[in-house]
Amino acid sequence: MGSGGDAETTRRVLDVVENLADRIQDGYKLAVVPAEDEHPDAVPELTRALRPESSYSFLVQRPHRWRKQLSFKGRRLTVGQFLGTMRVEGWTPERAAEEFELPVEAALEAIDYGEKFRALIDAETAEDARAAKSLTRASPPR
Amino acid sequence: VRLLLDECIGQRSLAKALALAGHDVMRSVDELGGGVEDDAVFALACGLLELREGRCSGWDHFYV
Repeated sequence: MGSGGDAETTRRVLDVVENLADRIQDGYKLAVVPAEDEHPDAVPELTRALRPESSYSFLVQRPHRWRKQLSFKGRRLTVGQFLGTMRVEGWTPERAAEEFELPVEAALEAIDYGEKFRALIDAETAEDARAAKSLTRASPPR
Repeated sequence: VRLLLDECIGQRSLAKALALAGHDVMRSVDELGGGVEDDAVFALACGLLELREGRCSGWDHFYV
């Protein structure tokens, strides 16, 4: 869940299981309802891990052959592309938001998501670079 | 150089700097709006110029 490493993931999974076990022992049972249902989420950690976009207002999953990271809603811009440019340019979140014509709140969400899913973003950035290099070799610039 | 900047590299300062350096810069987001699919950006590039030998010609660099 997220990018905290195997030990962290294991600890969080055990926390979820322990939470559920406590509830069952208290006389509750587990039920599955649509995400829009007003009942509180019994395992928000799991929901956030499996559907991270559910906890963000400006980030969404865009269909892609292999990319899993979130993008900005209504934009062709992944969180990784945004954060990568922001880092290289040394921009503040406010400056980066202005440059890409986004609300500052969207930039802050991207930073939050980037911290939680750094391993995924780094892996996809590496794959992008590999694909670009492969394309350049196949069709070098004139 | 004629440049079509896709949305992921469409930051204002880059487009402005390239234009100031004398390049002919177009941003896909200005022409198509945000969040369009890859095909729409390719269609924009190819539709603006002749499609020759199965490749877009006329653009010196085309980033998607």
